[in-house]
Amino acid sequence: MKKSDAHQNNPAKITTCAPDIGLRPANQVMTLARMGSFHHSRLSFMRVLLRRLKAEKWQFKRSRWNIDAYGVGTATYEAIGPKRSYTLVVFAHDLPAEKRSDRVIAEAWDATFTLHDGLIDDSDIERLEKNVPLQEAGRISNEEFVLSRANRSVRLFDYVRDCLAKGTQPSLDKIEPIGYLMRTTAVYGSGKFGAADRDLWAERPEFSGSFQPELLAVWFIRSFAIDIVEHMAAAKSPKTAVSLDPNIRRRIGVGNSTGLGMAPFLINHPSLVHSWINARETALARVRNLASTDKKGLSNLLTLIAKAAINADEWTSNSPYQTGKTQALRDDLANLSAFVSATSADAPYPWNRIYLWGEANLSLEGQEQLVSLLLEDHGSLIDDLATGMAADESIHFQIDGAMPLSRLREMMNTIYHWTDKIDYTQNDALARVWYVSEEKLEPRLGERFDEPIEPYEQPLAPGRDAVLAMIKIDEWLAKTKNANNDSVAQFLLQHPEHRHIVRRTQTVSALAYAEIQDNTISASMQPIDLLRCKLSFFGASKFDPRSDRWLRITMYQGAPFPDELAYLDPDALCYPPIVHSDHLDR
Amino acid sequence: MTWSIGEIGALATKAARGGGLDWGLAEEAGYAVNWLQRRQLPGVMALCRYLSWRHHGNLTSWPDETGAHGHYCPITIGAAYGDGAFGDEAQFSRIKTPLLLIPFVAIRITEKPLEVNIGSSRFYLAKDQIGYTNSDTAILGDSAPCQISIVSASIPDITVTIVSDLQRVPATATACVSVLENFAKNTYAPATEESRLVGAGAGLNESD
Repeated sequence: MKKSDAHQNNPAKITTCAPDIGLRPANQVMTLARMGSFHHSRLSFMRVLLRRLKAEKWQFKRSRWNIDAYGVGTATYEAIGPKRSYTLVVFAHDLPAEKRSDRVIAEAWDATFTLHDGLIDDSDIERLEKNVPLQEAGRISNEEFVLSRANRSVRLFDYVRDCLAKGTQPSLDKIEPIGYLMRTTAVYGSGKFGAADRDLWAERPEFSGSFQPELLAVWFIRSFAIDIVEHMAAAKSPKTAVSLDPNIRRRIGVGNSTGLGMAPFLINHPSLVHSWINARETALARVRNLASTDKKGLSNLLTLIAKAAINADEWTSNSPYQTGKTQALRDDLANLSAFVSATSADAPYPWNRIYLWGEANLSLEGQEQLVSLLLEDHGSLIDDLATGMAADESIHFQIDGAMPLSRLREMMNTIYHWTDKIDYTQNDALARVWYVSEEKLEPRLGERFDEPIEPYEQPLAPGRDAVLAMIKIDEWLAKTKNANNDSVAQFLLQHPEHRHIVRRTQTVSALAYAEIQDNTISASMQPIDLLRCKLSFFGASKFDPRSDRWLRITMYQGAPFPDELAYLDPDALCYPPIVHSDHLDR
Repeated sequence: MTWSIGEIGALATKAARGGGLDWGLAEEAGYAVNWLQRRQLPGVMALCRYLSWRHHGNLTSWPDETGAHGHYCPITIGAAYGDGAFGDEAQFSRIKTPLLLIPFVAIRITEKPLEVNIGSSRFYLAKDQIGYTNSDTAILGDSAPCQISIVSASIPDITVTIVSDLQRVPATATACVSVLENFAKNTYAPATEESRLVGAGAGLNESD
């Protein structure tokens, strides 16, 4: 990571004529360290969802609330759109404290959820009540799109309930660093556990992009967390209990606790990852190519930097890895603020100037925060890119067997050139094994040379696999007389063990940002970088690693609730408000 | 109980891997089962039968010049056919569970339809269209020689259906799904207490 003192800024290459700024190259963007420094942006999926729901004037309703004084029962939340409706069905449980666990091997939760297609009747609720509380052990149907569960925050839930029961408001100082009352521990979609196949709803405009049903469910779960804490406060002390102040309520998001289950996703969905990162890079390039701005433009950026600095100050973690990055981010934002303050509104290509300064002077964490901040004020220029942030991986499934083997070899050399610097004969380069545990059928990461897990290895090391395939192809080409005439099909018929990486090579060859250019099985690899990258595209904030492969995040903190969406701008609320002595400046 | 096509495709991939296929071919098995089930053909049952046989079966590699009368893997031969390793018109002796070959033939449909003769069954494949003779039972033939030919038009004695809606995998597949789940288990590493804690990355303080 690069980092500098504000007084020793590196000179950026600053252009005064039209600079013809392109997209950042993949070898700059697609490293785990940088991907693990991504921040949410206005292209993040939860931001895209709320913009669409607001623009299309969706209506929302809590249509059932059959919850008792112990917090047990059923509730439903409806989203009613111009053409279709959806219902979040909630089953709230009385979970003994000793059973509360975020791990995927847990078997009971404070609340379980499903997103149902359309408005729901009691017979469907009865069906779901027998299955949804069981989560992975139950079955949902073609009429359900999402299966999820959540636990209460031990740190915050009872505190907020007790404050409200006493008639007082909880302290923002306690709420902000945590940011949620309930934390989802899994959000399943796309055909999992009997849910509807993605194909069934992928063409619906309200779900264009990625993970829109899942994030609609999570937005409703946030509402449920507020409703149940207020309900239990009222049950505890009916005469004194009060509701949450709207400004405090809005600072409560919904948490998510994520382990390695999410990590292989980025490797297994190269086309989708390309679509996400390509959209983000295109957005950055569009902004950097703007020839001018004005004082208001720079002032808006300074306000955003100030809000991001508040967010960074509130961002707590016990992870040494993240703590160091967060501290660097705080320093970066102070330095960035100073640089932007000194930037003239008359400067040509001002955003490019600021970006290049950041590239030369900020840590990766700071650089990627700057990218998100540069996008923030340019919705009309970049929001259209959100519709392209989806991909059907099956389009690239079929192998081009007619391709000359020598051409495939050239492609591998180009795509996997970064493996040249990795010595796969060294144990450190092969130290890890991605495998699936028998116990919960979830991805895990083990030590190749310490555990008997190699026979179970998942194909999640494209660099290593490409090197092995290139060696075999070279042998083939060396021993064949008319090697130039040999095809990929002929090679694969004899060497089916390389079929996976050959397919992958052909898939990613035309997709610049599809392949992570790092060793995903090295001893020094940080799995949380994979999680962080994906979660930033969801729109998460306050990444809090609990180890190198498990982290907590906050989603929707600051966002409008369903009853506020009609009159509040969700994009204006995604960073913490600046607090003055007598008012909140939004 | 029914299954989504997506989860059955993922299960088929894992089962094929657990049944001994390389990852790239296991992915092809997932594709083949998906393709068949979307068309209401018994892909799950076919893979279940094939993997159960493969465990102890007399499997042979292409080209079989041993004279030992082994059977070809429908996934391996199918994938190679889909790649174009044999051209559009091809014939194979003794393909095991030949229904699994059909999705790979479909890959090579262009303007001209293809006809596949599998023992006593015949398939007609055109863009977004499929037709076949015989019942599901015959379709699930055990092993047969296969001949793939280009045809100029539809075949009179075959009723052609147009591929339309996304299907669910029906409850009748329950027993076969269980068999595939057992094969899939071969890809899962047995848990140890160490792997429970370290592999998933959870700490001891996991509830806050």
